[in-house]
Amino acid sequence: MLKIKKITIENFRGVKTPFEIDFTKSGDSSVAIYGRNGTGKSSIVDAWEWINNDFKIAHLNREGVSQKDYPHNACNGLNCSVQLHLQSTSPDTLKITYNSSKPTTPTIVGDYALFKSYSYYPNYLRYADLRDFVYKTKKEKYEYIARFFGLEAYLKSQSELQAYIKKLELKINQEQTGFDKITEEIENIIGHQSITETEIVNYINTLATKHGIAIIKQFKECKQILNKLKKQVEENPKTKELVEWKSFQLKLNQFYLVSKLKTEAEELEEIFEELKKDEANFTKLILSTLYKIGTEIVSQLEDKTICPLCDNKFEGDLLEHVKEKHKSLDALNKKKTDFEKKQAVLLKAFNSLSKKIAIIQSEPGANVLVAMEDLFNDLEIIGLSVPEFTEVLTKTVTEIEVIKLSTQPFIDKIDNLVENEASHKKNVTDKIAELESDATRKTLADDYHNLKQLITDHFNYLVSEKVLSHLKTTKINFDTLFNILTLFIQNKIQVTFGSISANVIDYFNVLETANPHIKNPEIKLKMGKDKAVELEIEFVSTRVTPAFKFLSESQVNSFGLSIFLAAVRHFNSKFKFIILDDIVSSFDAFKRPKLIDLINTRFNDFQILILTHDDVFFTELSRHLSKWNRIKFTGWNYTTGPVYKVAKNYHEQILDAIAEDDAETAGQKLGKYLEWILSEINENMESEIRYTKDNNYTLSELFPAAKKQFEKKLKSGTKVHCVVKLITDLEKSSSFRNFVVHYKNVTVPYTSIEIKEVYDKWLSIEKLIYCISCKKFVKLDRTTSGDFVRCNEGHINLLDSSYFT
Amino acid sequence: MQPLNDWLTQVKTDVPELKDFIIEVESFFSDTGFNVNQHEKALETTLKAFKDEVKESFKTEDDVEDKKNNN
Repeated sequence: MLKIKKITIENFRGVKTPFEIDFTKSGDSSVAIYGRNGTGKSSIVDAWEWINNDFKIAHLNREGVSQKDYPHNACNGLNCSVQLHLQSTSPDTLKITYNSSKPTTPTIVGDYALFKSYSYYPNYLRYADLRDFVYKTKKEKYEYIARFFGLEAYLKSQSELQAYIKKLELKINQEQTGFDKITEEIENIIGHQSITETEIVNYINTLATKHGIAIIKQFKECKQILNKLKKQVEENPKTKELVEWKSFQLKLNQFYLVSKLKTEAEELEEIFEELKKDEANFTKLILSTLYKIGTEIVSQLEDKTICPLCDNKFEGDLLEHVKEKHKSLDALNKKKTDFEKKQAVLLKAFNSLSKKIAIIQSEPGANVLVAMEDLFNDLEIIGLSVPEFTEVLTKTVTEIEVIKLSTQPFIDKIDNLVENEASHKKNVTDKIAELESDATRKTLADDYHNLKQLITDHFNYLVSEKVLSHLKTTKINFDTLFNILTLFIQNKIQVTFGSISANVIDYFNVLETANPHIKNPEIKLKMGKDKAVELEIEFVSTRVTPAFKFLSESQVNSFGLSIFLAAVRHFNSKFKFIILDDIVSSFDAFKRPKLIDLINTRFNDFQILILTHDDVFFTELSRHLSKWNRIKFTGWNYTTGPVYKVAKNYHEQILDAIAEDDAETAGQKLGKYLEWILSEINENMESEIRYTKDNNYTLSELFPAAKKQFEKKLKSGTKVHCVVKLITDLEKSSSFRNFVVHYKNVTVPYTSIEIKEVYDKWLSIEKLIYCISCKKFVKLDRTTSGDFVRCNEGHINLLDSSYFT
Repeated sequence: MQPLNDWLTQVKTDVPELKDFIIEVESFFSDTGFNVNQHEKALETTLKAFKDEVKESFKTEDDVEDKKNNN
């Protein structure tokens, strides 16, 4: 079992001088730290997360804070460290020091691997984590829980496979479209719907016979026929020309659709000119998000004249100033994005044009070249100019000095090409029609053209068929693997949740005892959904999904906290350590005692570090868990970090005041302590108490009520119960009577000796009625076999005969 | 939690029909997840090879002879 003796943090985040959290100082091994917001509490959790989470702090990363910013601002990255003093390990210290030359890889002295093998699962929980848990979607809850259960790599693979399968599906669809097109072309040429090598060879042989060429047996011999047919075509210049035009017509149809680009180029230039004028503000664009958050924060500040970042007073309307800054940077950002989008559109058009030009320029017939000379000249100019101007579309505004695109001749030529599409196509159609007036020539040209096309298509058909088949098989296999992986993860979640569910239910029921109609939470995997979980709850004996229907935000937080606590107990079974940072903020006020009760009764065996800015909760903790080490952050100083002092419990404060002979302070502390203790005892014992209209009970009402109830319930014939005897002794002592009447009225003095006497007498009573095991006072337990006065776990039973004399 | 690759090994045994496929893809899995980019590249190579395969199947003895003569 790993235990922490001490954590020392230096120069990390808000902590400057070494700050030590000692878990061995007091009787218990847990620590509570109180401090208002901004006193450096979160730096402690950040430090713990840093050494536990791969030297990263997730919430800071999300906010854009890099690892370089982890050290305290004044330390220049030097001596920034977190040191752990451990129990039962060798070596017993582990020091992790920030490495300014490589922030991702700190310097480690000690056995880090050993520490991580104990501290495997995240054992720290922030208020924000719980708050986020409430608002997570079903899918996000699934990911959150899966991650909690150690399934991160599986989950990552699942997401990646899911995305990849979609990508494969898209690829298959694209390939299928191409394949269908080729199939249609082949079917049109051969006049059959079944494409087999026999059918294709038969068709080729029909052509061969028609033109007096020897037939073939296999498709791979088809080039022999093509070559002989080509020879016949070339022997007749008009037929050759017709073939050239037909081939060109195909390329021309593939070339179009082309879009005009002049307007696009002009718009790009216009935005560029505007951006260039505002270039000096580009470096400030990263501040846009800061100003956006600033508008939200400043509007919530009580003093809206002090800048929350620099603490300086702002002359004027700070909120308006921040809003204005955000507005102007936001507009600049939008303009920059617009520019980049236009760059991307033009770049895509340029790249597409280059490819199309290369195709149309390949193997043009001599007759076509002469007849379409102007078109080919334009294409050459465009083809040469496009790469030259592509560069400007890949640079940033800062890198570009000037853009002169719209006035370039090649841009006009592109627009001309678009305008002349119909005319070019008509020229080609007319030429073909003219040449096809001779039927024999038309037949030879068509047959040659079809055979050439068929050979290309058949090749592409076979390749595409193989590609499709491979892609489909790959996708099916990935689908199967994905489904197995999904089932595995879901099963793991269910099994793991099953193994911790008893604890989750138990912890939730402790936190939610005030609402007996809501209990027994469960995590349900959504069947039929790949990645989703739903929280289920029992509401008035009926299972309800989703639990949100009947749960308040605070109750969902109870659910989240219960899962966290149960998971840490389950996974870090050899390192019982938890940090809870301000989680009480997410609960209703009445739930504070429930949380303390949960910690007290279910986490006795844990070392816990609680950080809170809730002074009521801190006081409650001090009362109920009086042996915890307590630290109070009273402020924060740039040169040292948190300003703190050790917070003392009532006993320590009373004894200190007695030791200093400060009877007044000692009496007031003891009085408050007794009022609180007796309130709890009377509640436990169901005492009858004299009603006061203002609902304010003092010792004068509380003590007699407790005494009367103990006398009534702790009876055994003529024998006297030792608790009753001690209470009577206390009541009879003049010190106590004097104290009860006058402790709130300092005009009538009492001495430190009197206070010490009352205190000692009370402690001897408390020793009998307070169970140190369940950390609670005895209570009246009404059962069918009679009333008992005992503690929850049965360690103390005051009706036992040994207590009577 | 068992490493991802151990889980894949287990799937090979549990689902024999996936064995060959897993052998083909297991090198793309690690404890940081599934490497999509690497698999995509490997897939492209496989798909390109189909083109060569079909080209090869279309070669006649004359083509081979021509190539020899040209060399």
